[in-house]
Amino acid sequence: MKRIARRLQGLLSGTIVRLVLGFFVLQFVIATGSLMLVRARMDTILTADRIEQVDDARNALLGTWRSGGVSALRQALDDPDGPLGDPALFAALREADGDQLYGVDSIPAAVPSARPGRVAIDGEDPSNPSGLAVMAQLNRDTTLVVGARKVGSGVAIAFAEAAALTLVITALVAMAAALALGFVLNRRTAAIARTARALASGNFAARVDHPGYRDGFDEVRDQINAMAERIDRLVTELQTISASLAHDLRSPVARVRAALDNAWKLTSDPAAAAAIELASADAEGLDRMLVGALDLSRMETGMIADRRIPVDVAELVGDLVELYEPLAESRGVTIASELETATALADPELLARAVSNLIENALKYGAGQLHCNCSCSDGLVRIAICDDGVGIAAEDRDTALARFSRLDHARTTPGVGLGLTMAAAVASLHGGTIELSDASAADPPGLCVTIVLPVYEAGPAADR
Amino acid sequence: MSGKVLLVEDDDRLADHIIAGLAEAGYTVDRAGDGRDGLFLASDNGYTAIILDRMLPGMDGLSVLKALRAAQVSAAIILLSALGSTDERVEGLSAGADDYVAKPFAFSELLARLQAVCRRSGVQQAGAPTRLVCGDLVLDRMKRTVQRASRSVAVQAREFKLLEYLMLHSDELVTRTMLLEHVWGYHFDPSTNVIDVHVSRLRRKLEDAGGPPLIQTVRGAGYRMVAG
Repeated sequence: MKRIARRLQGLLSGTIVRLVLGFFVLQFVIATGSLMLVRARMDTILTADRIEQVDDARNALLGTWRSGGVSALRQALDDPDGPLGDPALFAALREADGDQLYGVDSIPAAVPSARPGRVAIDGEDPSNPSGLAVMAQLNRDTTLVVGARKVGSGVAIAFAEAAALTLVITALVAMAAALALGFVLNRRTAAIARTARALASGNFAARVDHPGYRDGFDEVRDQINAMAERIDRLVTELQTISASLAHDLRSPVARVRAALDNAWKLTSDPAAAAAIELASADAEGLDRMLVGALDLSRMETGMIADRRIPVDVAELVGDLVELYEPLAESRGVTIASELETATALADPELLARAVSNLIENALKYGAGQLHCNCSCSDGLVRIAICDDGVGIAAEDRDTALARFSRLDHARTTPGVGLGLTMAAAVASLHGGTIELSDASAADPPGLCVTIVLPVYEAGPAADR
Repeated sequence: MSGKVLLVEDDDRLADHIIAGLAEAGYTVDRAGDGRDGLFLASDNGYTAIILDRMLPGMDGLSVLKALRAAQVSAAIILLSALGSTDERVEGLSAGADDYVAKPFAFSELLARLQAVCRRSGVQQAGAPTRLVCGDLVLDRMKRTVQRASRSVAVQAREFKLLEYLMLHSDELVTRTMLLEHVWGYHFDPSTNVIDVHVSRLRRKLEDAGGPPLIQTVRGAGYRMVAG
């Protein structure tokens, strides 16, 4: 339900609403304009029709008069089935002894005698006459006026009805068209956005896939695909280079370690053995940094297979706490943990590695108390590893994270900078973030490193 | 421990070093310098184990591995690679490798894993024992109890697993990485001595129960369980 509501909201947002309004106004103007045109045409046709009707009635009455005289004419004028049967028609007969009116209050003034013309009837404003009438002089004393009044009200109602219907249909059509347009637009922009998001998260194989209509969207699609192609090629190159770099750099290190192994076995001099052990440890450290840097670059470029599964984060952190507890105890550090069950979609190995890095850092820099908490609220899983060491000043935190990523700290304190950067890389690989904060208000404040991950909601609605 | 091992490695110096070490440990070693030779020699069979480099001239290690498995070569195969990432390891293991060692490695690590895979193929035929015995120490895998000289030793679940793994590989070198992998299920290399502390705890518990020490520390390499 929520999803549908969100979709509709998306369809009706900003641009779409404006499009709907535009459509509506445009369609309405067009429809109204054509109605006006029809109306004007209709008026002309109706007028011509009335003129003809008046002409016909006059000719009929004149015929009656010619064959039967005035008395026959009167009879014809009175006859409801006669030439004046149409209630719109009227007539008047002016004789020497007075006027006789048929369906009209008075004889209109200035009635033309050749063709029916406009006359004011029933006392209306003479500047805007609605009647049509024609006059015929029967003899010196007798004049016949035949006319028709306008049958306007019916047409006006029909027109109003048509206008209202047009309004409703236009609104519906505009709405449907806008929804359809919105749907199409949304679908095409969503495809582009989806690809951009996939690219941003490191899936460089993502391409916008849509049949081409050779429009603006296709232009965008082509550009995005071209960009993705180039990124993909560069990343593949980088991958090849780093893989061969790993091979080239790590093999000599392997030989150094092998040689040191041999030397250690051969020597019986304890001082030499101690020196060899030191060199061996350094070689191991060098190798670890190399591996760390390579892993990190792989993670940061997203060049890692998707091995995410729903992971009980509390269990994962709990296992690590159990792993490190004896070590902490041997150093006089206690680990307190508060673990609230929470599930996140994660690569368990990477996440365990990130958390173990943070615990090792906390052990290194903390004084005597370490907190490992896992909580779940507002759709976010938070893994907080807090120590009671000197902490990092608020203004240095961003630069600290940024600097770490260039391994500056790793140079002075091996492994440490990598640990934090690795944790940040793992967090971002999982669509999460890393937060640095004071662990407490005390002095020294200590450092809290929190990995924030989106919570995993089981069910078909959750997308991978 | 002895057996016939094939080493497929293009790096001459590393190969010499490995061959010397393996010979010292009592193995007979043949060497191939590239993938094609390796595949040819390995198909001839008779090897207990094959140590296979991942990056080889001619035919890469993974293809050799797949070809060997497709040809029903049953020798234990350890993949050797400078590519130590999870992806590479999972890819190697799913292609049929028995273990995966990332370069550079300490020779003791390779030897320990070689012994483990060679033994594993033997154990699979014999079936896993439910009672493990090392001197006066008895571990019952069904009842999940540990006894030393008939006295019960209280161990936690993880300590039980740790002891079980050490006893399964008694008289063999077991490295810290192997313990972290098989007892805790982690595939990373912690820079701290986190495993040592667990082992010394377990060792203390066993020694408190009386008797000689059973878990030896092998300097610079790992541990070995030896009947006192």
